[in-house]
Amino acid sequence: MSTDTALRDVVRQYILKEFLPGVPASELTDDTPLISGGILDSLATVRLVAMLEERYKVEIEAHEASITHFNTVADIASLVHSKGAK
Amino acid sequence: MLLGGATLIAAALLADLRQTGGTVAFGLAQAMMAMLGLAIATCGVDIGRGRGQEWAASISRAATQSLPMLVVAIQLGLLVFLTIWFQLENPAFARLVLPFTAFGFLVHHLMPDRHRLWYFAGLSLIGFVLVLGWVTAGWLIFLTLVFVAMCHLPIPWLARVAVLLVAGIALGVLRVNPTWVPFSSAVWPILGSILMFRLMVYAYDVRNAKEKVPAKWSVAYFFVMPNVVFPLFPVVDFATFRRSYYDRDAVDIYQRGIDWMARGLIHLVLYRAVYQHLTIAPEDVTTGAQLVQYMSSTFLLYLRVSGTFHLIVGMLHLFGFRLPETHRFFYLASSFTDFWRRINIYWKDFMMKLVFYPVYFPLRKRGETTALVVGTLSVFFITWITHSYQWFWILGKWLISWTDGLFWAILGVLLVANSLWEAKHGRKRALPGAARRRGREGLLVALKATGVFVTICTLWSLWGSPTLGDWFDLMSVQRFGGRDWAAVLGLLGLVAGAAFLAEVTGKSQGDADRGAVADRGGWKRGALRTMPQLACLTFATTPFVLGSLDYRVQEFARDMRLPELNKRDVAAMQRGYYENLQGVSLQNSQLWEVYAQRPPQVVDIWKSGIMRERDDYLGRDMKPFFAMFDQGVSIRTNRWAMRDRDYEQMKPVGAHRIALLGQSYVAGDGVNNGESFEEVVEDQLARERTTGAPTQILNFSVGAYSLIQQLLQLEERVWTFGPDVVVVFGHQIDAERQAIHIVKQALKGIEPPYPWITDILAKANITRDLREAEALSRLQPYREELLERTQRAIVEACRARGVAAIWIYLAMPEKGPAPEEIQALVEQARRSGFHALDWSSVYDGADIRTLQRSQWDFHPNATGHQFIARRFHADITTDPAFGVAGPRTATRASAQENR
Repeated sequence: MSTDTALRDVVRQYILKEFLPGVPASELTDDTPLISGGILDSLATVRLVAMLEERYKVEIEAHEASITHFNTVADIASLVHSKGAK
Repeated sequence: MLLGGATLIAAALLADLRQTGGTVAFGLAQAMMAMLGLAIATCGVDIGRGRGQEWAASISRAATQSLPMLVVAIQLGLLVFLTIWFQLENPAFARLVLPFTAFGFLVHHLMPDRHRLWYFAGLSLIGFVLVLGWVTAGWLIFLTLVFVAMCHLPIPWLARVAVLLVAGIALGVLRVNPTWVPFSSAVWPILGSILMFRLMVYAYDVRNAKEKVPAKWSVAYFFVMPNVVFPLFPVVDFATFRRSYYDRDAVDIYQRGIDWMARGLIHLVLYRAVYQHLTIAPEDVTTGAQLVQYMSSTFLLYLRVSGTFHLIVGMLHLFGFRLPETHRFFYLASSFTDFWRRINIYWKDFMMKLVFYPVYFPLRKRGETTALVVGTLSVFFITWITHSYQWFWILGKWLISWTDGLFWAILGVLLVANSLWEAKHGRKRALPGAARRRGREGLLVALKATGVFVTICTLWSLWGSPTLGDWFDLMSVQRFGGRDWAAVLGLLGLVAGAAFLAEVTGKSQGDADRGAVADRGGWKRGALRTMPQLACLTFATTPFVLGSLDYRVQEFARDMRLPELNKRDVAAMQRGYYENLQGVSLQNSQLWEVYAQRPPQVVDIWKSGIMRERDDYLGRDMKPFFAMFDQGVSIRTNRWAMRDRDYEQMKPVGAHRIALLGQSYVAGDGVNNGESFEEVVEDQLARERTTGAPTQILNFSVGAYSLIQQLLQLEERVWTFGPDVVVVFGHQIDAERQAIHIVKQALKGIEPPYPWITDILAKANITRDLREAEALSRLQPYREELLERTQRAIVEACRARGVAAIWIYLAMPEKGPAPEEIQALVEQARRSGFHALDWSSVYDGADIRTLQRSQWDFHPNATGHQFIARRFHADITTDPAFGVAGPRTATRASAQENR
């Protein structure tokens, strides 16, 4: 499993557990819109940021908590990956 | 092709040099010609460079989309027709910007992708010129580009912010001194609207961008065409603006734009119905049912913002910007956080990006709760401040009130509490497309939505009150009976029912961005929903359908087409001669628009130093020998402090004197000396007189004098001039205006000059410790009685001196009251003993807008005074009551009428 795939899986599992309990994992794809689809609001975003920072020891800045980097599972994984997460 | 396109552009631009009837010839046709020319010239250049195949591919693609594009174009055509029919928002939008957008959209769709953004930017810039003219638009574009350039200065970020701040303050200084700048004041609201928030987002995104921002994006972002006619513009996020550009199938995006524009149109028509028929003045609220009507209608007025935002965002979809959905079922929000997320998503995102996250992230090490509370409260504090900041740029004044602050503070606290609860217990979310809920869940959501609706209505009424005291007065209605409870329960039932239906059908979740799920069905789904709505609405507007309906429905439809101020705002405007822009807010958006368009150099004669304050019951009167000349308006008072020519106090032997008592429009507000109707008639009578004594018309009118002040004026001054006839000009707001004066004097502790006023004040339980709004509310049931007593006092004073007493209903050229209401005023004056005349038809045969001094001032202009003079002359020379035509006196005439 590549790092990026693993990252995506972690993000997906976190979102399913914390924000979409009961939703089958297959329904949350890499491209499901999270912010514009109403799943990630500001509160959910900051919780997700906290999890990512703690787990991957990276620092996400305020301007990065935006629709550009957090609208899909793929975007999030890409951001964390670009910060050197392993 | 290049030559052909260039010729079209040149012909369109040069048209400006040709003046027709004093107006600039660059209109809609020339703008369309210029844009068509630009497209043809671009095509010509591309062919010359060997890129003709791009155009061929683009046109071929358009051909394959011809059916969906035809459906979209038909709907857009219906939208343009309906917008013009309903005269929606303003003439520049309905007759220029929207048709120009529709035309530009079709040409834009035929262009290769590479040119589309530049073409949209060009279309927007020409749209600015179309509405504002070359010079004004030129200044606006220049100033905007200067600020945009500052965002790109090659200096450290903090220094760039400092430069922007200094430049912004300098611009603010010019905003409050609009006469210092060489350009039209029409620039300010639009310039403010373009820069006040979008510049912050832009500067922030430019700083954080990984690559250089192409110029075409900057131009397209700042000069988005609808902005030129909508100063209240959504704070579109720059990153979202770029990210959403053609990120789905083009026709699907266009259809979504059409859907939202149709929704916006419906919101605006509903808004007009609420504005004209449901709103109620706070001082008229005396029962529980009226309180329900006031609170709900005040909240419903927000439909205007929702409608315009839908229109704006929908229009941007036509050019590929698939921006987020806003104001989705915001009246049915089921929690305060839900309300915040639904109502104005653009503002929410702006605050989240520039305030919440920058506050939250540094604080999170101190704990999530602390960061959340401080971050959320910061958002609402900044929202409160920027609310006033926004009015500053649009109106040129800071509008800060405690109720405004309290509104945002309470909403902020509610949001914090709701967010903390959600942080602890979680919030139920669903994947897009899976939002439908079962009956029991729907019921719970409906109950919550009802609670939120009641809370927001209450908060909204607080927001709209000038002071906290006024709001308490509003809430302390004295009557709350069975019918009132029925009204409350009816409204709550309506909200709960709507929320339940929206929830169980999944409608309330919206289709903000469903990705692949949402786009299932694509443009067809939207067209099947929107096309019938637009077709039905268009069908309903046809003369065939409208003409077959009951006359009351036809009247209602007629009123739906008129973008006029309602009675409440007209009254507010008429009272506004002496008051500041108190209470101007989103809730009376039509009124602030009128104020916003008022040029700074307009002379308000009652604020020009002509008045002097007095500490007696009269309150104030005019100064003698006052003179002023400004912007072509001359104002002069004679030695007797009348805005009239000079007269000897002693009546010349044999002369016939008519004394006029009235308000500003009788005093000639808005016209030069010598142009008021009474001077015109006096001159005409002098010219017609061959023998006999002259007729002198003495004008004792003073701006905004109430009837009780006119009675005092009569006693104090008019009798000393020996009039033979006294003419009192009546208006529909006489009772209200007199009540305001009596209350003001009572609260100052000035003893009323007549015992019947004292008696009525005692009956109404008016005491000095009351707030004005409360005192006015208590006096409200006695207003008509007070008016009748004052009228009788005037008639009795006239009879005691053998002077004829005439009362004339005369309004300004404005939308007047219903004929029955005018008839009731005339009947009341007759009952009081006046010889009463109705001049409500005085402006018949003319477009009343051509008789008004301006859009922001309904006083008759010189032509309007000519119309009144015609009627005055006809009556004065035929009605014996005036004592000019025959021997019959008015007191005798009115006695006969009363019999």
